[in-house]
Amino acid sequence: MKASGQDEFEKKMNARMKLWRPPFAEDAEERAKRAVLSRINHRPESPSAEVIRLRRRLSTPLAAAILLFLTGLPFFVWFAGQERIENASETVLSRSLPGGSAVTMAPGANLSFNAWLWPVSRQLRLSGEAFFEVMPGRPFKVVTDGAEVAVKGTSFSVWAAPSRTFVHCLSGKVEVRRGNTSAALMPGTAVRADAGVAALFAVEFAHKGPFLPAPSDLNFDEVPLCVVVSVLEQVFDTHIVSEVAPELLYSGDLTGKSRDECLDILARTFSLSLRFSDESIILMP
Amino acid sequence: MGLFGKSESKKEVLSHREFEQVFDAYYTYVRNYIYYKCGNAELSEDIAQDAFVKLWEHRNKIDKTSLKSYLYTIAGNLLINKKKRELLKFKFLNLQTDRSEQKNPEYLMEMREFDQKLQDALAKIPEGAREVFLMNRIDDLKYREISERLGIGMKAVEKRMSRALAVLRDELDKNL
Repeated sequence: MKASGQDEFEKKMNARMKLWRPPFAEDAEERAKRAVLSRINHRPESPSAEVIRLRRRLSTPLAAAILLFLTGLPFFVWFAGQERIENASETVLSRSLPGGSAVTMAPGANLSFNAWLWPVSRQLRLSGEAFFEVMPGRPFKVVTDGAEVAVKGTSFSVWAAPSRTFVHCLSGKVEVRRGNTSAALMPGTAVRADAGVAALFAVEFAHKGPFLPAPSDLNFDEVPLCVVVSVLEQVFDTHIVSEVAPELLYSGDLTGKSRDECLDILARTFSLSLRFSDESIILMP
Repeated sequence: MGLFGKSESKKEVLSHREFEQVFDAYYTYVRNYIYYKCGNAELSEDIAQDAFVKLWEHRNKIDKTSLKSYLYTIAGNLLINKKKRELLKFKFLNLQTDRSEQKNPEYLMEMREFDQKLQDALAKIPEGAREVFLMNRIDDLKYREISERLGIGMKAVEKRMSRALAVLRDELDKNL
């Protein structure tokens, strides 16, 4: 009886349920399809599985390679493009720079610049003395231990030592900067920058061309006395303090003379007195 | 076996045309399945549509032979995420009329009362059992098909079915 009752129950229930439908409109499926297709058609096409796998495989090494490239590129450009010119001879050395500019280097001078970056940054570092003839164009900058010399197109000389830098303008306009101090040089003017001193000292003289001879050939032609003194400091590895007017120009040949002979000649020429101490020699009026 | 049987390459990505075929074949069932769970027609439609959009978005990762179970699973998860699983009264608004019953108004009245009681009883069936019961009785799905779509075993389907019938009997036996 129980089984019969269950059958009857299920039979009646099934009969009723076959007449039931979920409460959705007749066109609900069609509207839903249109809505879904519209949604997926407005979404960007997903990449294929192969592309996704390939991206996953490549993403890490690719990212590493890109990072390495981006971080290494500046170093590579900096080191690979670096050029250095050194005048180890006893005579003047003339060289062309990229872009048509030229440099004449005194003995012992050396300079370096980046040839790859030269088209966008005409900057070089100088030690020693050099005479530059600069083609017009981007700013041309000479950096020494003591100063920065910036020009656009001109000719000028720079003598750079750790303790002192001279810049002499021969044509055009030269700007010399030392920290926050700057000086604009006109043709025939020079400026001196001393280590440890913020100020720039102006020197006027009309000398043309590189003003320093080779150390073995100390032949000066209208060279400021302060420059001559600096050369003697370098040649004889001594410290000379000059307390004389910077506008004094010296012409003469000191080749083959000893340090004391050179100083004696300078003192007699300009009626100066010399005082010797353990650490330095003082040249004063 | 579904629309795209195992003879097809598993690595092939579902095309737009195939997606439409899948939609035509399964949308109604997925929507009803959610409706059987929550009793909310509007929510069921929204969730079923979202499930198909997700299917399209993840078509690169889905094995074509498991589209059905994927759709049911994703729809079920979407419902869980909606947190709208309140037990609602089921209203099968499109109740069809059996022409053979039209002649007897008393019988019709009795049946309307029975329908109401049946709907109340359905609401009392545990969710898992109710969806299996309605998938079988409304959507005419076999136990094996329900098992495949829900990703559960045949035994589980039978057990849920028995539970649903037991609740219905308890609630309706006295009315038969």
